[in-house]
Amino acid sequence: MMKRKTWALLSLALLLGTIGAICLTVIVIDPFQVYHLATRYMPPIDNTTQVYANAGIARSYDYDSAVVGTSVTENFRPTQMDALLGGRFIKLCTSAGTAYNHALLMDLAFRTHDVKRIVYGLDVYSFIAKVDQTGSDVPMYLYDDNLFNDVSYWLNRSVLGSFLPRCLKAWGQKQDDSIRDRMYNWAGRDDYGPIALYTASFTPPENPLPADARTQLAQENLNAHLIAYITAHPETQFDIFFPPYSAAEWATMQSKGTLEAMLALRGLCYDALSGYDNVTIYDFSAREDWVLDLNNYKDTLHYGQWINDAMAECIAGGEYAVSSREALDAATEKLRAWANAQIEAGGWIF
Amino acid sequence: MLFNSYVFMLAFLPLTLLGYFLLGRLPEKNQLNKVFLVLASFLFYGYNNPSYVPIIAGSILVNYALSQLMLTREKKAVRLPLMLLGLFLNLGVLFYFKYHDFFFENLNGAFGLHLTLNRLALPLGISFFTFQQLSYVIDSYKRTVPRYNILDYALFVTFFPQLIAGPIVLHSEIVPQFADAQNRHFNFDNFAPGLYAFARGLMKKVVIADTFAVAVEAGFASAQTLNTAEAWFVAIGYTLQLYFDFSGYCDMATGVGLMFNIKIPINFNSPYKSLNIREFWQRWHITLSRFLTTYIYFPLGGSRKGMARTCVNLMIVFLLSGLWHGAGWLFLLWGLMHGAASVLYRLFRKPYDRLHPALQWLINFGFIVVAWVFFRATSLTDALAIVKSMLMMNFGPLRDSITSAFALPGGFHEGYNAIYMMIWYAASLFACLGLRNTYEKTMDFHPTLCNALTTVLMIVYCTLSLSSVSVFLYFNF
Repeated sequence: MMKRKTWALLSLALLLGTIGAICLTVIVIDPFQVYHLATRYMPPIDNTTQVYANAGIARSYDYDSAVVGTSVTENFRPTQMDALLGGRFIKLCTSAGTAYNHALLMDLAFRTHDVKRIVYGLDVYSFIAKVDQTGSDVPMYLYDDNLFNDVSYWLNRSVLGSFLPRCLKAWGQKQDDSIRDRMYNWAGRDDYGPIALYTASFTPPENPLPADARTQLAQENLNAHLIAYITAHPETQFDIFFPPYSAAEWATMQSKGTLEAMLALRGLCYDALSGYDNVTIYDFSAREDWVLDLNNYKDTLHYGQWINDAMAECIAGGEYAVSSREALDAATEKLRAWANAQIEAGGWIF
Repeated sequence: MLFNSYVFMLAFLPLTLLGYFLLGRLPEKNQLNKVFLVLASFLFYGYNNPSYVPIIAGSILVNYALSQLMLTREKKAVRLPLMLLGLFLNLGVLFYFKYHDFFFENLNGAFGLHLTLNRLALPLGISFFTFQQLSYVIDSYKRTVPRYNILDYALFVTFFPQLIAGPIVLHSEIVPQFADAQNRHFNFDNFAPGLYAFARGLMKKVVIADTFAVAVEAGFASAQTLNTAEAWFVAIGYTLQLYFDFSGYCDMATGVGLMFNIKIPINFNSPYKSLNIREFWQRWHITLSRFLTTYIYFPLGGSRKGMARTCVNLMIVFLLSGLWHGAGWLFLLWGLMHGAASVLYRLFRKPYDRLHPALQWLINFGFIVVAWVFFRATSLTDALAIVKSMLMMNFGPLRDSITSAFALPGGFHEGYNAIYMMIWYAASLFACLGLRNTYEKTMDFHPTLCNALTTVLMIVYCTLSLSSVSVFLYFNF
């Protein structure tokens, strides 16, 4: 019979060997690209596990400018933005992300890259979450600089069972520069236009908070997750834009009784952000040829890629930059009027 | 710190073993190895919440001081107030952290008062280390224990394998083992079965208990709408979850203890094999039963003062046991049920024992399953709804939220989840009823290539199970 000592040594050797081999494989192949850019396979980047892939995108890609925001920023094309705005763009986007999600990515970007410009989609829904709340659980071990807690990545059931096989399946497919445009891009996946809109099931998350609580949360989020980066990086240009939701979205808010609170957040954000030399605020919310034409939308909130392309051109040309609080208020008044008109008419009237 | 965590398995345990046995190589008089182990145990205890450390450290110092005072006083009249003070302090701290809010909430509710609640987080393992020390305090009063130095005493209380979830060890079981010079040195003969037990305990906790936990959570969350089949699966599922969870943890404690050459007493001896409630409590959480028997049941008179008094004593012990498990009316009710069952068994033992063993098992197991429903439920309404569903003979399909807990990795053939679930239940019940338990196998450990491979596979699999990628489905994105 085997001796206990032999048994123990054999077991320990097998155990350490297996654990070590798994760790080494994950570190070398690195499906989330947190240690190095994938050069021998197409990395698994998709919207459902975005918070994992984003850590590697922020760390390992070559860029000096970034698009930051929710799903309404995911159809930007960094190659187009390179040409229009100069520099080299990357997307640091989080579907249904909160301001904290965006801050985590900006933080990582600033720690690992010399960031010259950030184009930030100010989706007001991102700013009414609690200040420490993320859209989904963020694997902080991939975002911090503590190598020890990376063990959650090295010895991870899903990484071993799902992501490594995906990498091996895509072995030999090299990622080219177009990956920057293709990542998280959902353009062309859905139907656009009034019919699609009226059958869309998408509704923004319910938030029963009273108006003053929204204001409080928005202020906290602005301070902690946006202004902190603006002041810490005066050398970085922040192009912050209010995205063009369809006019139907504001009517939806009115029907839920949240319109005034959400409109008030626009003013709050403007006041908080407009005083910085390295910030330019753009407002596409009331651009009539976009937001009153449902052919641009797949649901009340999400517009087609051509809108992202056009926004990039506007930012490059300085169009739709908000010159004053009065100008913003005038646009806000339009949104209110459109919303109320729809509510009165009981549907889309434009 | 939990056993089933990376930091424990990959850092704390290997480093503590290394440090302890390296220091054990120093001359025998040197106690640095014990100092190291006590400090490591404090680190283990305070890893997630350092604010708990002063509580346990203070508790150790006070109890040690009281015990030493009693052990050096001849007169009982002097020792008695010290013992009472010890009881008051230990139970007072336990009350303050564990029962204060429950008590005040009920007073507020009953008399319309507005007493302030503490809303304190319960210090880890406070029920365990309090009872463990109470035993020493009471034995010191009786002067049936030797005097230990503070280091041995601290080690007896803090020795990390048994610190936060038991077993509730006695000083006489632990301190002499640490005093044995042979145990200062690393020993493969103990390490091998230790690793074997740890792997099996880890598997029981991480794979079996945590899988049942998902189904049980879903079931109890829908307590009001379960059909009969679902109610039975949920109730038996919790019965299995609780056993595999707690006994798995104790197996890990046994295993880690053995790695340090310390034999920790058995806490679960295949309890679901029991044929009656008395046997169940001789097999389930054995060290708690031992404590309650020694320090409450016997002092109350045990079974020596007639049947009526015996029944009263049993009820007292089980009500206290219920309260020990948690501050809530459902825990008390659970204790009451077990107390009543124990009394009934005491009264009708002869006819019951004449029943066919299979019938005895069925009655006993059925009762235990139903009682666990009250233990687990968050409200009496939910518990009653589940028990009612179990009896209503209202059969129907099993809902996905329950069966999906048993889905194969990658969602392979999801349509068969209910069948996978049946296999899980059958295999787990067979493991409880048809196999020798881990403690028995560990004490009778035979090294083979096969169990080396299963040990390694279990640890690797469980380690990988500690972390996964959560998929975020945001509508159509």
